[in-house]
Amino acid sequence: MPIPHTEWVTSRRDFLQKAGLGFGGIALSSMMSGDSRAAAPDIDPLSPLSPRPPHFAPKAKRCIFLFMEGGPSHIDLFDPKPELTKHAGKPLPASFGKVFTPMGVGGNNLFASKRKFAQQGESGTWVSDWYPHIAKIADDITLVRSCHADGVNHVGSVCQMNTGSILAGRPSLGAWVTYGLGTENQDLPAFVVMNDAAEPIGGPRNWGNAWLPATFQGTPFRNSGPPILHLAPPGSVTDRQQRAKLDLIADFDRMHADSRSDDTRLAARIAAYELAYRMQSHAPEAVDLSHETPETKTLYGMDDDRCKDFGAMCLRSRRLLERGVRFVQLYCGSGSQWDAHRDLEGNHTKLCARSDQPVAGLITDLKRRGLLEDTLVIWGGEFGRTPMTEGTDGRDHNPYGFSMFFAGGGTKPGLTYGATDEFGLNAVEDKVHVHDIHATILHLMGMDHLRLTYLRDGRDERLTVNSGKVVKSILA
Amino acid sequence: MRLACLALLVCALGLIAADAPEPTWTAEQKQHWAFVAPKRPTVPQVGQGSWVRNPIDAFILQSLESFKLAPTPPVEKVALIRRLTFDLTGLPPTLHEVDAFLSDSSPAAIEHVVDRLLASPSYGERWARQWLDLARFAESDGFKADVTRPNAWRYRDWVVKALNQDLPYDKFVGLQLAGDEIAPEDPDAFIATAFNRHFPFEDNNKIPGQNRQLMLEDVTDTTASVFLGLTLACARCHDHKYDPLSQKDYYRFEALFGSFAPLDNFPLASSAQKAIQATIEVEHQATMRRAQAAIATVEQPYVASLLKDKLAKLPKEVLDAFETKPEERSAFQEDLLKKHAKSMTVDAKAMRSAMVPADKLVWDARSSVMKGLEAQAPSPLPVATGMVDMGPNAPVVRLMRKGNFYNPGEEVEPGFLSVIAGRSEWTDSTGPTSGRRTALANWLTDSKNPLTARVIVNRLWQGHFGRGIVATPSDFGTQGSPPSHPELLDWLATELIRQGWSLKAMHRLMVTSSTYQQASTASAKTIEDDPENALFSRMPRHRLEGEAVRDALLASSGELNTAVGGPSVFPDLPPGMETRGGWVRSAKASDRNRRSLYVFVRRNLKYPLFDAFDAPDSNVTCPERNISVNAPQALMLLNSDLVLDQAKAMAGRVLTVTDRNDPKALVTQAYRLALGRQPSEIERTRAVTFLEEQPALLSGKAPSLPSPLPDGYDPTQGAALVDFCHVLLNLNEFVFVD
Repeated sequence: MPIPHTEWVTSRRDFLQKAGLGFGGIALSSMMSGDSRAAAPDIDPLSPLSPRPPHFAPKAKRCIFLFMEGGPSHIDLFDPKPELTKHAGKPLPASFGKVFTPMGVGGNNLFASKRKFAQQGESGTWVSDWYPHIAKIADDITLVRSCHADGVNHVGSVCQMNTGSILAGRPSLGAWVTYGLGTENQDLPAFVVMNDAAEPIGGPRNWGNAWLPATFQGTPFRNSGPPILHLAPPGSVTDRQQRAKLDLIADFDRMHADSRSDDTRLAARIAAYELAYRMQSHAPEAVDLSHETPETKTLYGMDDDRCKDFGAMCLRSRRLLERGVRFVQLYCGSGSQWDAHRDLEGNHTKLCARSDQPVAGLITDLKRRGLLEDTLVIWGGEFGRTPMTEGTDGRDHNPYGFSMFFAGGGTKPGLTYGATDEFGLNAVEDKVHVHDIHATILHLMGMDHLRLTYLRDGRDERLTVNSGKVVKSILA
Repeated sequence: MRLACLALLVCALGLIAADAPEPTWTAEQKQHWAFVAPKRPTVPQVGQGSWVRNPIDAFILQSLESFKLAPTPPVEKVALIRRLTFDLTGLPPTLHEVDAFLSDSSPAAIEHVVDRLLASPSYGERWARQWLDLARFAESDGFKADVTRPNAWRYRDWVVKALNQDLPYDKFVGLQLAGDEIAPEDPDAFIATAFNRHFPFEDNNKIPGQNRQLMLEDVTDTTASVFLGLTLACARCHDHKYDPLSQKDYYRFEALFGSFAPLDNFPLASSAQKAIQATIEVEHQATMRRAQAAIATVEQPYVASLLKDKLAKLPKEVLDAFETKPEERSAFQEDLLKKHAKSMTVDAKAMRSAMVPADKLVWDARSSVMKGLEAQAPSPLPVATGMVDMGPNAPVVRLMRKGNFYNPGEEVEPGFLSVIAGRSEWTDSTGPTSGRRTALANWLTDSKNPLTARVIVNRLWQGHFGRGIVATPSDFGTQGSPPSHPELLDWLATELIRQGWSLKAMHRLMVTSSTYQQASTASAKTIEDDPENALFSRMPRHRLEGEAVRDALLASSGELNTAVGGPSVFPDLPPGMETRGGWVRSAKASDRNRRSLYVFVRRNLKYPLFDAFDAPDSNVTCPERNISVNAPQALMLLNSDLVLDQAKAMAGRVLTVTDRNDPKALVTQAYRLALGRQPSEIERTRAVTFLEEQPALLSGKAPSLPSPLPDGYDPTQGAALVDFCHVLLNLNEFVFVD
């Protein structure tokens, strides 16, 4: 008599999910059928990163998030405020009430932007003179000027932009995406992270899997030498020698697995060794820029000392995206460099020069290769900056209203969406919360944020926690 | 117009005043199995009597028989001792231990091994790891600064010691929640309270009171999850959507910790030592004060003018606290001032540059005297970190509407979960502390509490059998899994109490059962009829945790340092991993080869091997680890110096066999060291061929050689042997225990 299954359904599903990829041979989806609560992905334990169908036809097949870490000043880049100039030197009107900022600048005087703004291209999108190359591709971007978030400090805000929560412990956006979709290239990691300087504030949790299976965490690529830790065998090991070892491992593992055929983890581990071997040869090639033309390198600003390193990161990213990597995240100014509490002019002049040409170059290059239409590009930081001055020449953190932009991947080019108040402090019109941004990114990649779930401690967890709605207006 | 405004205002006030009424629980909700205290069931009488070694087997066999399934035959002896040793100590058995077990043909051979393992200090080290996962144990704050907690390791050692001494579980619970109240004079009891000192802490958070609220939430969520197996955290923002846990229950439970505060400098010394230290410190401080006063006379006018500007920027709550007379400040205000001390002090540099030249000269001279005195400060006594009670002046706990810190609601009195305890009035103890946590500990460990004993026996079962009888070990609520063997769970829970809450007694019962001794390879019929092993019709195969993988590598090579306890160590990080603060490689190789339990737990820098093998995020309690299989794990074991170094040392160890010129002898010894068993004929033949062929594939330059390489031994052969050892350390069989 077979064991009746009904009473086990909850525990079985939970057990399988908890065990991650360990237990298998059983399609999770078959157990989910008829369960209205969840639509967890159907993961093949032998090949957890195999491509999986999205919930519906996606506009974006891959995604790159260009994270300007530390908080770029929206009112000096994308959101001009004539009223701010007019009222400079005076405090915010009393109607704003007491404004809390981490450095206590709520009562400080308003600080006019020194930038020159102009409307760019056919679309008339406002871009300041800090971003001349971005200005030239203004018609390709979708600017959202009404973003807002919950944290006031870097660590919580960077964490929220990556995981949805200001508190540590939830999976990152890239982990959710690869959990949902797998990846197109089985010789490379599904989710790659690169930093241009110090480690981003908060560290690996920003690309972590939290309680999702570890396979879905981001793999940090280093900027020089082999891109992954332990990718190359120690110096004296020859390829033939390594291959012979791998062959012996595989032989012994197969003999061992023969008498244990019900345990698919054993086969999965044999496959993982083969992937590791393939990555040894494919990952270095994927980030090798020696075959890129001088023209391409110039496009990314690699001939300009101010931006050559970030340019190279953007170019490497394009190569990864081309090869089917699902999610790439680049940190520009990692370790909170955009955090201009003092000397906004000096700080942002440097960081804008670092990011302007590489980001514009990446979007241009993706477009001319026909990749932009199904690649989603995201530019933004964890928050913006205050219209009030900090000290004499800086701006404090502002999570209440800030700008982000998108390109390609099914977003509406040339659109400017949402607005902050007359000084750029609070998002007031068509407000877009971080959860809404996340819901929209998943939507563009073919997934419903309410259905991309993971059962944990009796709750179907999702990226957007308890809220989030797709910002339909910015969809093409 | 004015009227309308007034009406609106009244409405708004009305809304604020009237929080939703607390729900009452239906009989059905109260009768959820986990909320009804376990009654000791009768042990079933079943066929196959010889299979039944203890009551566990009777319950398991009863359910197998009801589905016409037979248990899987016992595992063979080498696999059994390997299973038992990894399971109870986290280490592989030594060659000697394997041989002794194989030659012990007495009926009590298994009991002998189990008794030896449970008495070994490694037992506490192994099972402490499961508890540390639950306790979100870490040695740093997390968040941006990730400040080191230099004495957190004492808690880890306390857990190891408590388990090794088989401290009864009720006392184990009590001391961790309220050691400071239960045994105020006992340093060990204080160290135990660090269970709740492991909350992540945002050093940089400037919002008044928010860090305290975050701590209380962490402590509340973790305590309910670990000891009660309830998702009380779901009731922080609203009444629990599924379980009979109201939002008010959440804050009542939180209020049990309302007078809780961290203390990081509890002196660990005898009263005589403390007295001597106190005398020295008093003298030194008096000298310091005189020097300080001399400086202050110069500084005073400058400080006053600089401070004025700084205070103007502080949040109102802090300013209020500052302006309150010291003797009238509440404990909360004191705490607030401590946290904002930086914003209320003047930067010495700024002050010095404001001085007129004459003052500057005097100030410099007096400051240098002060510096000299500071250098002579008596060295502090060792200290411990943990939690204490602020006493009767504790800040009130308020219900946070929608869990929002900025929207505090009514004041809430302490209390236990209403679905279990009913609702009652609360009275604090009249002693020096509030007594709230002692009361909580007593409530939890009362034999009538329906959850505590069930939750812990289920965790032990999960550790041994791969899955709990309740498959959701920290969710015994209505959304968790129902128990697969409810009567067995209740029998174990009541047996734990009957045996004086002895955890070792429970381990012994579980691992000496026939259920535990089943093979992990079952018949096709068993697999077909019980595909997920829901009936425990076989033993699951266990993938070693990262900690155990590393320990097994070091044990195979003979490099493992089995010293117990003490401050954490820092093994090498892989080359190329960016050097971050807080990881200073331990100077001595023997320290770097300590057991994995002693590797420093930094929240923002997980040791890479553990990270790759699913070590949990130490920011939150983890009841069950993921088990992932991926390519970075393979790269780690294939290409890292850590593993290659162990292969070299292991090859050196293999070469100590009597006949090292016989490749078959080398292969056999390598198998025994890595896998605890002899190779099969096929394996031996294939391995010998590898040893013959591999030398031709090596490059001429600097191959990896056995450590040590015996005099006169052919280095090329030695390098091939290193490669072979490396292969064994990479096998599925090395990381999966049958």
